[in-house]
Amino acid sequence: MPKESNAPSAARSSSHRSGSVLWIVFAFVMYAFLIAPIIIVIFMSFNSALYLSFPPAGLSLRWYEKLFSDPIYTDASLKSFLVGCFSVLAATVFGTMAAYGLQRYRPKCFNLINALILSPLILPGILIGLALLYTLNTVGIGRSMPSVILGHTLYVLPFTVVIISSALQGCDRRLEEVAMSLGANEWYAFRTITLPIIFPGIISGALFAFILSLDEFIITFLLGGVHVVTLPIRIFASLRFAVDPTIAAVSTVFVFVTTLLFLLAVRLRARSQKVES
Amino acid sequence: MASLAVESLAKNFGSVVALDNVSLEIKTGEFVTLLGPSGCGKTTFLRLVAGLERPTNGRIYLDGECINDIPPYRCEMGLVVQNYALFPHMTVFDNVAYGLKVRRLGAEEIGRRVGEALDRVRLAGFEKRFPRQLSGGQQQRCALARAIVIRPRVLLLDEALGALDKKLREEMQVELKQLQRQLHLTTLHVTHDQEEALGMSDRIVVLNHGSVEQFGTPLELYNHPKTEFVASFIGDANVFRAKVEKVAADGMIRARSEDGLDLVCTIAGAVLSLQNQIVVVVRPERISLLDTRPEEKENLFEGRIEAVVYHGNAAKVVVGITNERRILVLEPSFSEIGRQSSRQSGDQVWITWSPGDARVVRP
Amino acid sequence: MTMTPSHYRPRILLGHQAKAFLLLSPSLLILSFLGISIFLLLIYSFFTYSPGGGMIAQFTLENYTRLFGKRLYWQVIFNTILFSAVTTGLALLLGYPLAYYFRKLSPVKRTIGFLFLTIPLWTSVIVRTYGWAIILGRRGMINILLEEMGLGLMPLDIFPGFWAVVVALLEITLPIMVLPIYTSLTSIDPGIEESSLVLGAGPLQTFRRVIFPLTLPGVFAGVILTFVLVLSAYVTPVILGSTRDLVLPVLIENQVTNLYNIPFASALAVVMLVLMSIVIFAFRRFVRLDQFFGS
Repeated sequence: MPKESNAPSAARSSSHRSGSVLWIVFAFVMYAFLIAPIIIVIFMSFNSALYLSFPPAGLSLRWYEKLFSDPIYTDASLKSFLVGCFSVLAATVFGTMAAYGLQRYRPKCFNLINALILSPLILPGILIGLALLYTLNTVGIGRSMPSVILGHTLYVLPFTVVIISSALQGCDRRLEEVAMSLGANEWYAFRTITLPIIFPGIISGALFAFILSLDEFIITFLLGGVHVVTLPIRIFASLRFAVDPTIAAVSTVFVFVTTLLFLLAVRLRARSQKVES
Repeated sequence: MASLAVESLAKNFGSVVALDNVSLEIKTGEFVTLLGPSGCGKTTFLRLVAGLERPTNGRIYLDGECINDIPPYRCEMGLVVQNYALFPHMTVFDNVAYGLKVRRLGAEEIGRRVGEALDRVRLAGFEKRFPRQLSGGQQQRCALARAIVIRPRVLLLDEALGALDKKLREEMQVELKQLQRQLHLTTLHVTHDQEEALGMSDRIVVLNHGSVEQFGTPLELYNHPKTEFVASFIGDANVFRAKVEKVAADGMIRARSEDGLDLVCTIAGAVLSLQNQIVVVVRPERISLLDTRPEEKENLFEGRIEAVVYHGNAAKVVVGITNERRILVLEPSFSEIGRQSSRQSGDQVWITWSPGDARVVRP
Repeated sequence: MTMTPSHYRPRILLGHQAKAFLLLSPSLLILSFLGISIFLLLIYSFFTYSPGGGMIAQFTLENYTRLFGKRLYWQVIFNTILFSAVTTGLALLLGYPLAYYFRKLSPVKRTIGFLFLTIPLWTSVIVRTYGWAIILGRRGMINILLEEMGLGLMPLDIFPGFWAVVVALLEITLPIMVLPIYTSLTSIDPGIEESSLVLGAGPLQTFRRVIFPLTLPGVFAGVILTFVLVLSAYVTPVILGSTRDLVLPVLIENQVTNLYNIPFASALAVVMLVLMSIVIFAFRRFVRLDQFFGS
């Protein structure tokens, strides 16, 4: 925090104060902007009217009832969950291995491999989906659950690698070396020393990855089509073709779940960084 | 308990030469210190011995067996590093027991040996604490216990006392030495602190830029340094570069230093065969400081005191002889007669030393 | 010197390179799968479309001649670039002050601010687009509000339309723009700012001459990331955009889903990749993107 300065402070502070009011208003407008669509959707989910409208006709929970009973939505939720679990599992395991390999055994073409791993972040989802679709069609797998899981794993891998790499950097290498001098081979040292220490980082990475997988649309759309319908695809279909206000309820629950997961992941990350210091 | 030897050991990191053709033998139960400035290769040497790095060249022998290809977890060595590297998620007990658990020892024996080790380092009762709850000295002792409980063949200390404050460090030096004696542990200790090295070691290896300058007992290193580097790194030294003028039959060498001083030394003090250019080294405590000009002596120079630095039991006096040459003299605070010495800046004095007290070394 | 005893015989001693490679292999495997697939895309763009779906491995340039020949497709490319440029510009205009504001906040307020800021990152694009559709729609919030206030005689035709897409895209691009700029701002030694003020430069001058130039790496990183993100956007343009606002990703999806015209879709994809590469390599000198990861 800046120190107090002396003489001209009087003049500066009054203009500073009115200036800072402007800043606060600006910030609030921005925050409102950022959260507006979510709030509206939550609002709409309690709307009793049948069509997409504003202002809402009345309060009702009917869309929530429909959501939990209609197999279309429960099915989509299940699919989302399954895809998320499998792809995050794969991305976390591969990501931990990759992070460890990169951090502890600096390979010669480190920069190249690093760039390669980070590439799905910057590649458009539509390109990833498109490219994978062709190849998967060629090898005969085509549009299916495994395809979607592969797509999600690729999409999410950079995140897990980055988060776990940073957790690994916080874990002093000398701990492993001392463990080895005491007789532990690399796997034993990893299992008993490194893993427990970076575990919160791994979990938080996995949670972030899970959130990203749940939210993902375009890759799932291209690789799943009608075979694998996740929640975002279900909502999209409804938006495009037959608007069913249930999707407001679906969306609200969806946002609620991802928010919880996000907050959990953030807390875990904060805690894992405290352990290291 | 094992002997350690290295033969033509060399290590490069890319184009950087960390160690260059080092060969030594360390006896069983010996306490050897690797001494040198930062970057001299001492830590690299330790890591090579521990198996944490692979040598570019050369071989390492433990009790006569080559261990180049043996991974660190089969070398049976104890390692203590500067920041202790205690496992933060384990208690003191678990930390110390770690090496024993890896070796699949029974719970009873583990308990017994951990208790024994903690007693030795005077940490009994701290079993349930976590590293973050320990003070610096306690962490150090815990790291030590962890290393010795596995009954290692060699104990490796990498600047292990570096993080402690002066008083604690001196205490630990004594404790460590006692422990090493009791266990008859071959120990390799890395430090840049020459006082620590002189105080604790049976022998010292002085390293500079990856090469061994000298390997000998503290006494040898101090009184008979072989190179200029060793002479100035260990203790203080006055260094003269000189050209030989005459070698007399009685062994006296007359030389003229670069700054024009006439020096006399003896062949007995010389290490090498005579060459024209030599380096002469004189320890400050070997120089006498006199108020009046004595009768003719060798190595007699007149000068003016430029500074007096008081050190409690002695004073370091800087005497300016010529414009560029300053001589460091160490004077005890109390002279033979019991009178307290009172040198002051600006005093005119005479300094001298006997030819036998100078050493001729390699540059 | 004796031979090593048998119980010391080492198992296969792998060097560090080999171990690294082993650990990286599953990741590299799937990444290569992706890499090869993208490479194949390039090749397919020169194949011939077989009517009814699919393609024949016959070399042709007709995909590209069609693409660059018809005005429609030039319009699509232009739309894509326009959306990117406008959104990036607005994001920079709004995002930079926001990053600056965050710098002055107390840690608690800053954490809350970041939580708000990153909402678009952890909520699904579908849900947010849905929300914007409601807000900006014909019978949406804004129009209703205007009616209530007696201002709107004619309902605003924002959605579907160009500005609806821009507004919704702005929402997701704000955090992408703010984060690198914020990182840049906080890496400036506060002593520099103080020195400038002490030397007599007013706050505005200090900003213009000292602070802003030092944040250029962050600005460029934000610009590149935002531009590429908008270039790739599918959901927002397809839902909130009108038929006149066709962009490359939407066109590609059309070609694949409806016609399964792989060659043409590939050609379009190649154009997208080229656009992306131009942007990245144009600004590459100014920035190292990996500095800004680790949100």
